[in-house]
Parts: sequence; C-alpha cells; structure tokens
Amino acid sequence: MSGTVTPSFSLSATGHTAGYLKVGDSTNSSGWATFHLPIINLNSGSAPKVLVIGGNHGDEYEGQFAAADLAAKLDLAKLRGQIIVIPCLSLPASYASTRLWPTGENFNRLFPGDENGSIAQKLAHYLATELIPYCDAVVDLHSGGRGHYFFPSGTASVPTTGDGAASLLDNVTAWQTEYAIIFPSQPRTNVTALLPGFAAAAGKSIFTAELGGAAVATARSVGIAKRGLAGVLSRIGVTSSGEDKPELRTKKFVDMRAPEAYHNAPEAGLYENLKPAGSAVRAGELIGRIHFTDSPNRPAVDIQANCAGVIGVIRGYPRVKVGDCIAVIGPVRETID
Amino acid sequence: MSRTASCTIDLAAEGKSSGYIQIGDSTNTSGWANHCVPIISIKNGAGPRLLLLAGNHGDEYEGQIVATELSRRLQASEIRGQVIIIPCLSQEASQNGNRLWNNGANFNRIFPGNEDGTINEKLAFFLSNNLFPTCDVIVDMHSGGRSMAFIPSSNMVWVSDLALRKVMLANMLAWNTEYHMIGGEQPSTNPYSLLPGDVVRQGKSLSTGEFGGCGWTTAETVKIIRDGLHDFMRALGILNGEYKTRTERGLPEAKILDFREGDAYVTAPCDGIYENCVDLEDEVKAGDLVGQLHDFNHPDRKPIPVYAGRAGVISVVRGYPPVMTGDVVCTIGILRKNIAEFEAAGN
Repeated sequence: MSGTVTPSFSLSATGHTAGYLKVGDSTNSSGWATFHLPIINLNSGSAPKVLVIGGNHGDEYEGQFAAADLAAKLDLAKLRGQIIVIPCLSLPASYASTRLWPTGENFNRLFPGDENGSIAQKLAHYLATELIPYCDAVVDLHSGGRGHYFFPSGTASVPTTGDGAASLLDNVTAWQTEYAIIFPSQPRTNVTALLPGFAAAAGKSIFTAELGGAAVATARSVGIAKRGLAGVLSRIGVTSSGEDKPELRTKKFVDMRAPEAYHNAPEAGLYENLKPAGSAVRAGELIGRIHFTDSPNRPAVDIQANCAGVIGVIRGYPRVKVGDCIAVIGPVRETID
Repeated sequence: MSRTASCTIDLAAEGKSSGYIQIGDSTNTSGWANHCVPIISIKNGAGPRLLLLAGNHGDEYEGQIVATELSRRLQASEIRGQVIIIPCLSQEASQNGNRLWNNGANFNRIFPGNEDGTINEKLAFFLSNNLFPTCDVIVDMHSGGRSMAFIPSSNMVWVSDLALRKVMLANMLAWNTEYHMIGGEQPSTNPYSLLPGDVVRQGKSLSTGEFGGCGWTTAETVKIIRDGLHDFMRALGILNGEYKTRTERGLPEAKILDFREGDAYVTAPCDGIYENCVDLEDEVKAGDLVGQLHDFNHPDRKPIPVYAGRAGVISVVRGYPPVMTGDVVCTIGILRKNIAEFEAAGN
C-alpha cells in the first residue's frame, strides 16, 4: 500500500477508464501540488491482468507510441481480461528527451522505491506494492535511447540458473521480431532494482523489448513496436486478436551473454559506425572507428569485433567517452541453453 | 583581412601541412588564450583551390567524420591543385552534441562575421575575408542534426543569377547521390547571413548537401557522403581518378525533389511528442497522415493527426520528438524524375 500515490479511479472498474496516478508534491512554484501520471485501464472484469509500461526511460519513444496507441485504439470486444497501460512512465524525461528524470534518477534502478522519497521513488513504490502485485504479467517497452540503436528485438535477461529462464525464452518469441536478443543478468547491478527484475522476482511473467533507439522513432521502428505488442498481448491471452500465430513467432536468438559481446570505447572521440545494426560480422572484422576532430593528424582508432555474430546494438550519440558502450555483438542460435 | 584570427600554417606552401586557425580569446579560466580550429592544407602545384567545411552545425556528424578522415589520408600526390579542410568549424557544439555554440550562436546565421565580436563571429569574419576570397570552390557539408533526418543528398538553392545557378547545378549533380533537393531561399531569413550565402555573395562556386541527421551517423549515411565527396572532387579535376556520372555507371538518373514553391514544409499544429507515421522516400498524397502529436499529460486525449499539405515524396522526417507549435515535422518534395523534367516544370 502507498500512502503517497493514489489512482483517480478504481482499478476494478470495467470498460475503458482514463485517469491519473496522483502523487503528492510541493515545489518552488506550487504548494499542495499533485504530480499527474496518466494511466489507462482496459478491463473486461476477468484475468489475466497485464501491466503495459512505455517510457520507463524518457528518450525511448517507440514503446511510448505503441502503448499510447494501444490505450486509445484497443477494441474492447477483443479484450479477455485487464490491461493497465502507463504510456509514458518517466513523463518529465520524455518531454525533455532524456533517459533520466530531471532529478538525475534512472527509473529503472529505483525498485522497490520509497513511499516517502522523490516523485519517481514514490511511483516506483506504488508500482512495487500495488500495480505489479495486482497483475499477472508485466510488459516493459524499451529502445536504445539517445545513446544506442538496437536492431528492433524482443529481449530477455536470462539468469544463469533457476527455472525462470524457460518462461522468459518462451515469452520473448511473442514479439515477432527477426531476432530475440538474450542478455545476461546485468553485471555490477542489483537486478531487482530494475522494473522487470523486480517483477520477475515477484513471480510475474515478463515481456521486454528494445525496439530501436538513437532517440528517434521512425515509422518503421514504431510499426515493429505496435505489431510486437499486439503479438505479446495475444500470447498472454488478454486479447482475442489471434496475432500470436506460430509462424510469426521469433525463431532466432542473438546470444549476448558472453563478456566479449560488449565493445567499449578505448578513447574519447567521435565514433563512426561502420556496420548497420543487424549485420553479421566475423571476429576481428572492423566495425567502427574513433576519430579525433580536434587533432586531425592523429590516426583514427579502429574497433574490431571481439567475436563473430550479429551486431545487435550500434552507437547512437557519436561523441564517446572512455568506457562507453559502442556495440554489442553475439552469435545467432536456434536455441538457448 | 582579420586582425583577430590567423592561420598557423602557410596556405601557399606545397605539400601537406596541418595546424590551426587561432583566434585571440580571454576567458574566466584562461588569459592570453587562443581558440584553435584545426585546418589542413594539401597542395600539389597549379589547379583549383577547394575549401572543404564540416561541422558548421555541431551535431551534424556525417561531414565531420569524412572530413577528418580525408584530412588524415589524403596525400598531395593524389591531387592536382589544393584542398584546404576544416573538419569541424563549431568545435564546442560538436563536443556537446549541439547544433549551436555554447553562447547560443548559430554559426550559419552570423556571416559575414565580426572581427571584434564573439569567437564564432571572429571565425566567420576570418572565413569570409581571409579564406573565401582566395578559394575557387567551397563545400559546406550538413545533415539534419538532432532535430531532422534528410534523404542523404547534395542540394542547392535555385538562385536567380543564371551563371551561378549553372555552376551550382553542375556541382550538385557531381555528388552522384540518388536524390538531390532544390529549394527556394529560406523564408524570413537573410540569405547572406548563412555561410553558403556569403560564398554566393562573393561569386564563388558553392556546393552543399544534407547527408542524414538525427544527431547520429549510420554506416549507410557516411558511405553516401564519402562516396559523393570523392566523386565531387574528381569531377572538379582535383582528386586523381576518372569521374563517371550515374549514367556512365549504369545507374538511373538522379531524382530531383523540388521545393521551389508550395506547401513543402509540414509544421506542428500544437506542442507535443511527435510520432512519424511515414518514412523517408515514402510517397504521399495531399491529406495523407504523415504523423501524430501525442499529449502524454492527458490519457484520454486522442493524438492530433498531422496531414500532408500536398502530394510528393517525404524528404525530411522529424528526429527529436518533443516539438513546439510551428516546428517542422516533415517536408514533402515534388518528385521530378530528372533534372530536365525539373527545369521544364519551373522558371
């Protein structure tokens, strides 16, 4: 229970209800203020219950458009349960086109949140204590943001042990993307601080995707996001649209679990992508270069692929610092062990 | 001639040399400071002198990458005449991922500059007074920056001076890109305050292009600008190697996107988060949906549809999704299947 966040309507209301999560606030410009986060409830009064999140990160727009489209257009005659949609979770960050909130908070590192913390922490606490426990499945829509561009793909962060892996690997095929990208649990990170990690630990069925990026949403990438989301909702069984056809499911996995999958900039400079996302490369093949526009005599630093595979992620924002991730490459597999 | 900026290398010297345009400065953190803009000269005997410019806007990286690469690789033995390269004009804007300088200056609106003004104004004055008059051809490479993505292409303004128009047209076609965009002059803007406008004012041969955008680069966009620049330099007779037109390579003639008149620019009718519903090169009819504006603050508000004002080809789409009323969200060019059809269609 949260004493600092309340919805403007009852989640048990049936039909289409649009309203807000209201968060108590008090700012320099507004006393007795209430932060309003839009939320839409689509409910036929039965299970399964699904939470759909867009804009966990502000500058990842593909999922925000897909979630907003779902909330506005879903045919209630095809609804077989309940879908709760938050189209733009990090609202101030989306309007600022930044990954993080203006406070510097990464919403995807705040769980389980804090009832008496910042606005973002209060919202995370409400999700952790009310919305996520209420639902059976959680759909969290991402893309690369300004920093990266993903070959649009369903994703799964697969634990090395435990029985969560099988259901995640099954779920990820519902996105109908050419590849599914398989990540390890993120190193040096408390996985339950992430929204999907928290929901997975709570025993929920998890669907995540990285649907483009570079802080630009094209008609093509948004189309992939909308079709993928429809496939996921059909798989969960919360819609009767019939869009989870076996022949449309993702068949190939790009395995990003090895440490050598991640390529980091060895120098600060201007990074040039030499290969499109989705291209196959050999180990040692040139994939990018770092240029030095302030000392043009200096040779460019070549970046070679650490391993053979498909480039799942390329660089968005070209100005890189030492250690910035510039590419992620993994082998293509038919099955994941 | 500028008294507040100078070049550390002798631009008349044969061979390859590199150094800086130095501009006197004095800042909170540095007295007797110099703002240094890298400049490279490659010269091999008599022939045309080309000035190659990139990073006029900081977040347009495609040109900066190929200009930096060319600065390193090009040797005097590979050319006839001279190539002077400034790979990144707006250094601090490029470092910060911004179109504009930190003081808010748009380098492409401050010409002919001011010898006693800000650093960027002093740099513009140096270009306008010291460099442009000594060069035969000036190339200014752009892309959409963070806010826009263009179909990568060389382009031109359909200037009224017929002799200049002929030169600029030949320059544009020499890049051999699949499309070219030809526009009228930008409304409500002094054309001579732009770098290319200052070049035209001085009667010099100019070539420009918009080679991508969105504040990033892809392998595809950088290949287009790199190949195009090499073709352009061969067509001028500066770079060794035989120049071949698209036709001579068996490629279809370049398509022209005509922006001379009509409702080419689609603008946002209100503030919001803009979703592109069309991609570059899509053909649209007047009244087709090209995008929609979301109000993420109001969950029950339907997105505001944005429609094409005329038929044509989507030439520019929006990069940065948060828009304000009046921001350009896409442009629609009228497709002319070649330059002959373009010329027949207009004045």
